[in-house]
Amino acid sequence: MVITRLWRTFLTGARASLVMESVDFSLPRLFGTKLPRFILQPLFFVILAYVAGGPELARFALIGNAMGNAAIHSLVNLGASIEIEKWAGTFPLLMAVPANWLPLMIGRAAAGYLESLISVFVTFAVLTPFMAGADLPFDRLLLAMPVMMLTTASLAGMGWLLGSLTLPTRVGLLASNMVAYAMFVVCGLNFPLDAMPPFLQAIGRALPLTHGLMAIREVIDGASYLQVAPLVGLEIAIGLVYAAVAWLVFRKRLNDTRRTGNMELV
Amino acid sequence: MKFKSALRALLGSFREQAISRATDNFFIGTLFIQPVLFTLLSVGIYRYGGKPDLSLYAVIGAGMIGIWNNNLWTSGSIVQDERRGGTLELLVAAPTSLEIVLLGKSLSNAVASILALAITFATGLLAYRLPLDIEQPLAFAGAVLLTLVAMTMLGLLLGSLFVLARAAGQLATVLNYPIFILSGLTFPLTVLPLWIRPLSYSLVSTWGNLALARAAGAVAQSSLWVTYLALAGLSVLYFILGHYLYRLIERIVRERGGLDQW
Repeated sequence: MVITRLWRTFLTGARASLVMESVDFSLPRLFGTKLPRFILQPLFFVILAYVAGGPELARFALIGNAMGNAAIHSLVNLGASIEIEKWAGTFPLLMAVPANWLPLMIGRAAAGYLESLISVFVTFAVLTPFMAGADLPFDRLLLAMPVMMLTTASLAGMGWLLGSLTLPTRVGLLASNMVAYAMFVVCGLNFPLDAMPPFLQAIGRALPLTHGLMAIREVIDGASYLQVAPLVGLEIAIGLVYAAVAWLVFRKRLNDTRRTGNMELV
Repeated sequence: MKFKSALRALLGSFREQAISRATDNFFIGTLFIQPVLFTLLSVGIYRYGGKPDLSLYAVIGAGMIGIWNNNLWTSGSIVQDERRGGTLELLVAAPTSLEIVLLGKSLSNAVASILALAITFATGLLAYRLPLDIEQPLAFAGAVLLTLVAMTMLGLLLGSLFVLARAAGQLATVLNYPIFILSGLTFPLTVLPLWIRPLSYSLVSTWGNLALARAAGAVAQSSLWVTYLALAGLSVLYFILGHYLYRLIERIVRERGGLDQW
């Protein structure tokens, strides 16, 4: 009974988020802004990597930046999925309804998650054919898809956390963008983590994406799921930690708002 | 007398734009944080790839990325911000030409955006201990000055363009990376196919980057004077286009009588 209710709440949130996203996915928006953005940013870093280290580094950058796309969209969209309640004026309603907000918010993140995955798919689909001899076989990419999905889900926790932390501020979008770009530096997207100073490596290892990306690279290079299980497990664990902290912070935001009665000021 | 009042309006709008920008979080992020991240990334890639000799070029490219980003966003939204703030009608009705106000604001943005270059140099120095010696300091200062003028004219053009095309704001979010690629920011232009290079040479960011890189000694090819001439030529071209677009907007809004309906 409780599970049915939670599931229904989740579906309501997912439906709302997908309907809102469908407006954003009009053909002019899709071809005019979204698809170019999915492709051009990875392309820039792939060219840079090609100049710096030849085809091998370009391949490394392509895999990294495809997942970098997922990071940007997860952090920005999922952060915004919390902030949007404030701007849409639905935050007080969310507080007032008896439904559990956790499945609702997970549902509200569905479109952001989906868009992140689409961005990864588009990056590989468009740029891989141009990487002649880069050894990116379709079957290996397909095998890596579940790991990509898990890694993207793990990034969602970070997105929620940023959304919750910045809820009472006006810097949500900026913070999500900047953290996503910082992850491009410290998560081993464009060059291996080991090539960075130890303190940056430590930061990278504490963030989602780093271990998931390592696992994705290994699967594409021929490793089995069993071989990458420790990396995937670590990625999921890190994602869960961020999601749990996000849940605590968001709950505190809701409680504080209830206590002080300043919903309009959130 | 007329010149004096125009100069006063120019300085006033310069100052007003500087104040409003200083409170803009997005501006602070793109000016102070993004250049640091781009420098860490691009120099890091070159060092890992075994081409540390391209580090200075990458630092300058990352600086140009910051300069471009700031001008694209801040200058592109000048007229839109006035419209949203309800002050556009007042500015059009005022005896001082709105074009002077736009010029002052664009100049203000261009001057501030040059900070991005200083930030990328500082990042290269602190994070990677790069020897960032500028080969011809005077020529470098000249390149900065010409880039600043060209960016101001570009701001004037963008400000008008963004009013004429409602979707331009959205387009701006997509324009970044094509411009970075076409301008060869952080990597040499020679990596691009030949057929695409004429497009590169129509961009002020390409010439600004080349002029700065040449003066700093990061590239050997291309004459410094050619880059100076191209920057000056493009500045004139952008000014003429911006002026024409501004006149067009002014005529349309006076005919329709509804600035807020854009």
